[in-house]
Amino acid sequence: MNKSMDLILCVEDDEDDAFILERAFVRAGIANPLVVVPGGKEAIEYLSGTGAYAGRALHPLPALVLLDLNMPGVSGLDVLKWIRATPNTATLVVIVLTSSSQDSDVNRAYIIGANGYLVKPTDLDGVTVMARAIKDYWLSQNRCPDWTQSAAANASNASPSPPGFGERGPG
Amino acid sequence: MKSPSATLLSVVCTVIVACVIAVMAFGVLGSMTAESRRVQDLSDIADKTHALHVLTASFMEASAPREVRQIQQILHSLDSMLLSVSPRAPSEAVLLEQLRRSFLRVGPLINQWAEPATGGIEGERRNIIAAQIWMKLQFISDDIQRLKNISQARIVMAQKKTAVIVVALIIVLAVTNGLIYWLSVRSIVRVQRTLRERDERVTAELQELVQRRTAKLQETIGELESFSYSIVHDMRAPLRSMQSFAQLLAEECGPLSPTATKYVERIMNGARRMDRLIQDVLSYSKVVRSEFPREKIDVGQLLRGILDSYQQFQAPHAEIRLEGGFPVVLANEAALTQCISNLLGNAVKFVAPGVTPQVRVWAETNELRLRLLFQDNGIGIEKVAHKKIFQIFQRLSKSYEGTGIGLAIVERAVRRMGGSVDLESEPGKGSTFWLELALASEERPAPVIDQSEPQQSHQPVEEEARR
Repeated sequence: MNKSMDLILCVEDDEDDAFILERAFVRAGIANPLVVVPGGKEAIEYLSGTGAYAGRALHPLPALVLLDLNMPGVSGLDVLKWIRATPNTATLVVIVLTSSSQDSDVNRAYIIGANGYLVKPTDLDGVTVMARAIKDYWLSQNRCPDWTQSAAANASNASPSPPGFGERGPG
Repeated sequence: MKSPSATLLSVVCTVIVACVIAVMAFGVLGSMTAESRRVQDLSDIADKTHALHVLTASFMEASAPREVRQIQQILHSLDSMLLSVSPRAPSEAVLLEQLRRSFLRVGPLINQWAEPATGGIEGERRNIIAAQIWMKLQFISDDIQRLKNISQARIVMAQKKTAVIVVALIIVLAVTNGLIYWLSVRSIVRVQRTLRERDERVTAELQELVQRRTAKLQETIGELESFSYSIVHDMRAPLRSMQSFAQLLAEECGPLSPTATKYVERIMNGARRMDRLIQDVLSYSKVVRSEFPREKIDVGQLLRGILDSYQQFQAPHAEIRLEGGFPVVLANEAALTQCISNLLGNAVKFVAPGVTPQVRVWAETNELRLRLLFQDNGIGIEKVAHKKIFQIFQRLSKSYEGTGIGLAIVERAVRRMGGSVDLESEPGKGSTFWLELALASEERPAPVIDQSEPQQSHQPVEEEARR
């Protein structure tokens, strides 16, 4: 699973939080490349391969998206909606990583199709523990769908609705 | 208003009708009196005529001249009596005139008769005159009788009229009284209906107002809640930066001077304190707005569970003794756990330096309530501060770490469960806090636990909001 191309996309508007997450990933021993985009708009550009992120070879689709919710402009929930409505990304594993522990946010995120919901810990050690958990579960244990296969299946299916989230790739 | 004026009008009408009827009745009664007086007069005349009759008869037998004078006197007075009787109708006037004329004729006839008789022819003439006198007197008596009859008929008539008037009066009074009664009843009913309608309208308006205000209040509360939530969560982001970068500075930027290390530690401590404060505020606001459905809880089991969960409540950090048995109470498990944890946490925290905390926990019960007591060997609390400590952000000492929220949470939570909290304490003599809660009786079924209630952490305050 843990191939070098399995990059992690982090959508985070707070530079400090992005930096802390990067440090925590290093401390947790996560070797996967981590790409940080500073907002919802950029996240959609990256995932659709447009704008500053044109060129799939340079900017491959991630295996895992860590998504902040409270961002100015296009919010995390908007990004999640877009991901689920877009055939190429509909089965992406998206984990919400936010400082909000409000029940309403949690419920809405899951209704829209989040695969997980993590609340940011307040210290570096806490973030490191969380990064280790991400590594152990999402990057090692969990089997992610193969987006190329699911995209092909979608193209042949010609169904406008996003496919089920439980769909598994052959990988 | 319409009804009272209608009543007044009907009263006035009744009075007027009654007056009119009374006047009519007086009129009838007056005419009746006049009529009966006439009857009396006519009777007198009849009596006098009868006397005349008798006198004339005796005179004709005895031919006494003294009686002739008496007869003339009677005739004279009869004439004046007849003159005093006033006629009431033309026919009556004729009759009276006839009567007078008859009397006037009787006088000369008597005189004629009284002349001394001479011879047989004269005797014959006197007999004729006598017969004429008798006839006249007879006619007079008849006429008087007729007059009397007319008057008596009038009296009967007047009596009938009076009866009719009285009956009419009774009917009119009854009808108007009924009308007044009906009107007043109707107006009372109408007033009642108006009042009721106004009542209903006011009630409806009030209900609407209450609903509107409640909705607005709920809206405001919702806004405030999300406001406080977002503030609290936004506050944690810079905190994360402070704490994490301080740690990175200490751990990744080469060996720091001892002073720099101390400063960095201070930054991290400050961040930790801030974090705890935020979490406590979160759990306080949760206590304030949450519902606490009550269920049956075994206090002993709960206490042992809490003691097992935290090192700070175990030897060698503290000596906590549970004494005697503990009953089953009606409470919310999460809230009661929070209360007990906070009280135990305070009991082991506020001790003089170097002293091992010793806490005694026991239960006292009466028929309905449990008193759960926590006695410690801590620093104690001044009497003046006993009320203050249950208010939020009230801290009595800066030498102990804390946010001043723990007891505020205990007070709100226990109150929301229908219980209370209080204490006995003096500085240097330790404190005894107690919770009072309703006992779970066998007859009372435990209320259904609300499943929609989010699972609350069974941790002391510090841990509550870490999700």
